[in-house]
Amino acid sequence: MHAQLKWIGMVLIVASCSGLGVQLAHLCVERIRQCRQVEQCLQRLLGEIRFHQLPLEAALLETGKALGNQGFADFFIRLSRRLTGICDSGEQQADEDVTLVALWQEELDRYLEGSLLQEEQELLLRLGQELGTLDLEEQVRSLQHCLDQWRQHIEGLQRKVESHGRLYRGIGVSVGVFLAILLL
Amino acid sequence: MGRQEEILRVLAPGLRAALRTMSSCWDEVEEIRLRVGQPLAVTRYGRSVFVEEQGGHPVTMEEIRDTVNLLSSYSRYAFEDKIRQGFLTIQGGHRVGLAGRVILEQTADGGMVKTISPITFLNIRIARQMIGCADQVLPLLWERDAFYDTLLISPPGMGKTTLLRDLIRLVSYQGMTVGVVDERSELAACYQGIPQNDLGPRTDVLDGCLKAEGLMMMVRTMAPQILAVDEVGSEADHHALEYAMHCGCRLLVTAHGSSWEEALQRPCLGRWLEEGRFGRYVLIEKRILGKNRMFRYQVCDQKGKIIASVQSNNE
Repeated sequence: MHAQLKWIGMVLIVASCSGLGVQLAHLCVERIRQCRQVEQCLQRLLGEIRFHQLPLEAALLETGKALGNQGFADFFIRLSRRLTGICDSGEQQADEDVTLVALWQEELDRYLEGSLLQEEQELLLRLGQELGTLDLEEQVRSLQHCLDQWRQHIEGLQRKVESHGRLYRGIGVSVGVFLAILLL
Repeated sequence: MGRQEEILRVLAPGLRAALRTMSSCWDEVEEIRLRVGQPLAVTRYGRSVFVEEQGGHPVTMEEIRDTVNLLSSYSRYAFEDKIRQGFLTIQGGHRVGLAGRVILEQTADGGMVKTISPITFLNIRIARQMIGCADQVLPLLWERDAFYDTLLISPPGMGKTTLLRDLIRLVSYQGMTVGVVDERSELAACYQGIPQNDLGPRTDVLDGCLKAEGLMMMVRTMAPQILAVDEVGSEADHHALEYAMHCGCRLLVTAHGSSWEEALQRPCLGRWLEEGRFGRYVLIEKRILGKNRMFRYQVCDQKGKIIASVQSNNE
C-alpha cells in the first residue's frame, strides 16, 4: 500500500510539472495569437484610412466592430467613443483637456493591463503620438511602418516560441522526474 | 450645443480659457484670429480687438497645433483636400481659414498646393444664418410662376452668400427643388455631409465639389428646378452654367463686384451681363451703424435698370 502511494505521488509530481511546462508553452502561443489580433486591427485601420479616409473616430469604430469587439478591437471602440465625447452611458462627456495621445495611453493601460512587453508598448505609443496629426501620405507611411515593425516582432516571438515551447515542455518533464527521484 | 460651445471645443485649452473671459459679449464676435506669437484677437462689429487676459494672450505654436488637431478631430489626413484649399468647416457650419507655410507639388504646368505645414494662422469665422434677410427680395425675383435667373453681385464680406443662403431656403420652402453646389461648404456648411444651415426641405447639396463639375452632376442626377452656386468666375463655371440654362434649370448665383459697371469689366461675366442672360440682378451694400448692420439690396432688371431697392437690418 505504501509503495503504491509512492508511485501515485511520483506520477502526480511528473504530471503536474509536465503540465506546468505545457502551460508555459501554451502561454507563449497565446501571446502570439494576441499579437496577431493587434496586427489585424492595425492592418484594418490602415485600410480604413488609406482607402476610405474615414475620420479617426469612425475608422477606429469600424475596425473595432469588424474585428469582433474583443481585446484590442475593444480598445479601438473605447477610444473611438472617447474621441467622439460619448461615454458608455450615452451622455455627452467632453474629454476637453485630454489629447489623443493621453487617451491612447490611458486606454492602452486599461485594456492591456501591463500584459505588453516594453518593445510592444513603445511601438503602440509611438503610433498613438503620430495618429491623426499627419497628412494622408505620411499617416499611411507611419501606420505601415508600425505594422512592419509589429510583424517583425511577431516573427521574433514565433522563433522564440518554437525553441522555448520545446524547452518549457522538456524542463517540465525533467523537473518532474528529478523531483520524483529526489523524493523516492 | 450652443454656438459658443461649438467654437470653444475646437480650441486649445489656453485659448478656451482666454475666450471665456469675454462670454458676456460672445454674441457680438464675428471672427476669432489666431496668429502665432501675436495676441489672440476677435472681430466685433467689423473691428479687430485683442482679447485682454492679463495683458493679452499671445498665441503659441503648440496652441495652434492643438487647435488644428481638434478642428480636424485628430484626422488631419481626412481633411487634406480642405487644408489644400485653405479652410475647414466645423460642426455648426463655422468656417476656419488656414494659412502658414505652403508646400508645393511640382506639376507639368508649374506647381500646385500640396498642403500647408506648419499651419500658423487661423481665422475662425462664426457662422450666423440670417433667417429672413431675403424676405423682401424674393418677391422681386418672380414673375407669375416663373423664377428669374438671378445674379447677386457684391464685394467680398458684404453678405452675398448670406442672401443667397436665405433665398435658397425660401424658394425651397415655396416648393421648388433646389440643387446647391457648395464648393467651399459656405452655403450649407455641411459637417460630414449633413447641412448645418437650414436650406429648406427641397434642397440637395453637393458639398466640396468643384463648381463646374458639380453643376453638370446636379443637372444629370438630381433634376433641380433651381441651381444655386456661390462665386462663379471662371470660364469653366460659365460653360457649366450655360449647359444648365439650356437644360431648363433656373439659376441663382453670386459673383464678386462692387458695382454693375465693375461686373461688366469681368471677362466672362461682363459678356453675360451685356447679353442680358440673367432676368434679375441684385446689388448688395452693407453699412455698419454702431451695433447695427444694415443691408441695402438693389434689384435690377435684365438691362441693369434698378427696379426696386429694399433694406434689411441685423442687430
